[in-house]
Amino acid sequence: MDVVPVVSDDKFWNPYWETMPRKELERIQLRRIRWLIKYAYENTTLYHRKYHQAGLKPDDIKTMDDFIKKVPFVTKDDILMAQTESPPFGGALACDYDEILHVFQTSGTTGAPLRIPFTHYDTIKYGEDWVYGFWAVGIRPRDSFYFAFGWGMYAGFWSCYWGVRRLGAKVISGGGLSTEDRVRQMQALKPTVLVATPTYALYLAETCRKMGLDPKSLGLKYFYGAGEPGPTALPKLREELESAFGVKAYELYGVAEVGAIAPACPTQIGVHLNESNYHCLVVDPETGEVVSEGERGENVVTSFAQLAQPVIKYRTKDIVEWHYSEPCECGRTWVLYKGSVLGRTDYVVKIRGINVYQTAVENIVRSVPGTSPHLEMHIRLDERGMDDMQVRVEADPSVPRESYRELAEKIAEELRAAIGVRLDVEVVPPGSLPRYELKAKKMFDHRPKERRLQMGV
Amino acid sequence: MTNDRREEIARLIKQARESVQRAIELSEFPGLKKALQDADMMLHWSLWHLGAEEALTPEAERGSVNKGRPSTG
Repeated sequence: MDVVPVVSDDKFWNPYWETMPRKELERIQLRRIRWLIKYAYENTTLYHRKYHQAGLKPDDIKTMDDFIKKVPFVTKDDILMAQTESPPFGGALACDYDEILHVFQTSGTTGAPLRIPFTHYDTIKYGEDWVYGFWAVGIRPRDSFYFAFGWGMYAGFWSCYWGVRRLGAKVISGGGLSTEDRVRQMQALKPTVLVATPTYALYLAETCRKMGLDPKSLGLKYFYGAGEPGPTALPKLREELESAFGVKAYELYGVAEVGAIAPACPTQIGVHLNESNYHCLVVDPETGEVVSEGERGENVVTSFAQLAQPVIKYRTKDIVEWHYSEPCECGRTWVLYKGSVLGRTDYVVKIRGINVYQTAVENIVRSVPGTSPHLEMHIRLDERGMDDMQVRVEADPSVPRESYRELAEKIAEELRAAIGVRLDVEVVPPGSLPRYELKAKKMFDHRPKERRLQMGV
Repeated sequence: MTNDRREEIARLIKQARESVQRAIELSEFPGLKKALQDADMMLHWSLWHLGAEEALTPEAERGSVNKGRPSTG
């Protein structure tokens, strides 16, 4: 009898997919890619027009190499333009309007909001992405999830909710409550998994202490976050979350308009692309050429799970480092994004020839004793018109105000030693930076727009 | 899991889908029809779990997805 080389124990949600040899993964993905291109070409004006302009017909794509070389990239602006031409979804929509089950929308802080529709089946697939991570880290149907989340238009935690339903675990909603009320609810109902953005989880811990409670007394076992660089990208943040709540802390890497693409790796060294639902390429953001394994570049994703508004070779603007030829220590053969998302192409700053990444700066600042988890990074041009970055960080309450200058100097020294450039650092009193329930705004780009567009990795 | 077992499970699921699809055709009220369509969707999803080379959606197999050729603008 022919034996498929999979691990059959309880480690995986689906050992068949998670340990599939790369050659077989690519064979199945190519079939799905070909089907998807035909589907998008026949059902959306966006892709029909784009491929027509490129002189491409779906049948031209016969190999993975054809896909990489012949199929044009799609950007958020392409989808936005298609939506703007004929609102609300226009030529980006592939299904009938009546087939849409759920609609999300981005905040639109950098322009028009992007509308994100999903069919019922899309939501099943999107939710299941989360379950691969839950299962891998030991979360089971007996667990109960606390959603410290206001149930707004943010697709991330809605999809997590769909995931918990797929897993068959319990959902406890913290929607519409104050942080203090959420703490009280958690005390009463004893959830085992906290779902929140990492920054909000730290604020929750801070609130517990103000209420005279040890956050560990809530009895949580896991923190599972998304929405901003989390415990995989930022080891110091992981330490803070794990020691505050007495939990193991994990994260998922998602892109709202694409999916919950990369669930947690139990080793905490990165996250894995769910290759049953997605295909990725990592490219040089300036040339669009695929970079070698182990190198950093922009993540370009194709989804087999988002069929209401297809995304094929979608430029996410996320900077990742990819590994794929050897199975991970956890046993998965899926692409590993080491350190999860390392930054955004629009926020990469080149200072004296050195690329400065958001997560690198944050990791170093947080490693200096006396700093708090609350910080902001301001990108601006210096007097010579060159990129520069200022870091503002809150001091820990134990640090006296007269020591702020010394602490700022220490942080600047650590940054210089680790990344090779000197950044302007300002230490500010505890509580002076804003707190956020969802994604914390840490990056502020004050450069003129045309300078941002010129940035590469 | 052996390949033989995987293939046997896929065969059973496909058989179940045929029955469900026949039941959808016969169903006469929306509550029943929707429940059966959901069942078909989950059976299709089960085939995906096995890596079966199906169309991306159950609707596509029934030919009801294509909205018609879009304009090239």
